[in-house]
Amino acid sequence: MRTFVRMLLVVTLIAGGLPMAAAAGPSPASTLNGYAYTTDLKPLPNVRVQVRDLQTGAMVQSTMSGVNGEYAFNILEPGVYIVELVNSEGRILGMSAPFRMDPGVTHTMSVVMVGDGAVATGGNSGLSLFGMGPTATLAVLGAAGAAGVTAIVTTREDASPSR
Amino acid sequence: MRPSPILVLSTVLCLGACSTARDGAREHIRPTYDKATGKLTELAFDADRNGRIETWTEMNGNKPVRSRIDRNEDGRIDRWEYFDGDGNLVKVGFSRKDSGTPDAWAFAERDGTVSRVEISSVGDETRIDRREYYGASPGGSDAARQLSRAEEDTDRNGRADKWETYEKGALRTVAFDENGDGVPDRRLTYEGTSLAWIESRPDAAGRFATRIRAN
Repeated sequence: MRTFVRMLLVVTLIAGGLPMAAAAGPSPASTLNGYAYTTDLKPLPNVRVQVRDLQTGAMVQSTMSGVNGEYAFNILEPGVYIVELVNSEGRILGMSAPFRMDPGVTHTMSVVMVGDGAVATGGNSGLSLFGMGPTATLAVLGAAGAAGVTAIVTTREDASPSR
Repeated sequence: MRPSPILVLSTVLCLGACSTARDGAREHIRPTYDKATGKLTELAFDADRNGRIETWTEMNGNKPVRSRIDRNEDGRIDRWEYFDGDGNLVKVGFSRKDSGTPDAWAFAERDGTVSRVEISSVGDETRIDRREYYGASPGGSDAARQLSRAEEDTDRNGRADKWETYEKGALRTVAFDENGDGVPDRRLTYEGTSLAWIESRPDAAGRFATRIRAN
């Protein structure tokens, strides 16, 4: 009888403890992935990508972007994070908005490099930080004038100023 | 004294060119007129005289409205010039992706330097999601122009929720609106390349009540 009671106690403890043990176990990992892009929206490979916990400021994980700018992390702790792109000197090149990671979810968060600003990509357009570049329209108007192009070739009777 | 009502050459952009030079110039510029009103609507121009048009200027009579320029003649427009009703240049558009569609627009100071760039991730100038402001960097030792601050609408709801400031070209602070009320809830301050401070819990005046040293 005493043995039976002991066994019953053990079984009860094990059965009762199992759900508690499961509840107290580690949270399922969440996956964070995304792409790093240059200011002209091309893939940005070989740049450091780091995940920062916004509660503590701690950098929790870091990796290098792949050849297509891709990156992925397994985040263990739920929380609010940001993704930072960092160059080899440690300078922040770009940053995501804050996002919340919940257990067991897959989150996609891509980051566009800011660098020196979007105007740095305006070279094809003749733009630079120091100016808007040559105004093509002025050349067009000058050429139109030289060619004797008129702004209005006809007016209708009802367009007369006296009417 | 009434002007002739029909077929009046009423406005000339420029007069005085001799007829020979005018004929030569005409080979490189093509005007288009509105059939109903006779008003000039477009000038197509071959600026480098290689036989290919690379600049199209929409006109409202003698006033330019917008120009589209294919500077490198690859078949895709890469610069857009916009004018106000008085014919003054307002902004210049460009395509970050070089896709032939503008997705960023630069605005100039009076001295012609770029003061602001507006970016639309969807290429729509009425749906701007990032504004960058340029100027002399406050921490700079010279008058070099750099990105000085930026604001961004990261969730594309029409309201800024991320604000960045820069010193000497490097990120100094970034603040986030995390609850969508239009004001920053948390601000990160960087010192050099390291995150130094995290501030949160703003009061009604926007001052942060909590400030912790970042790990």
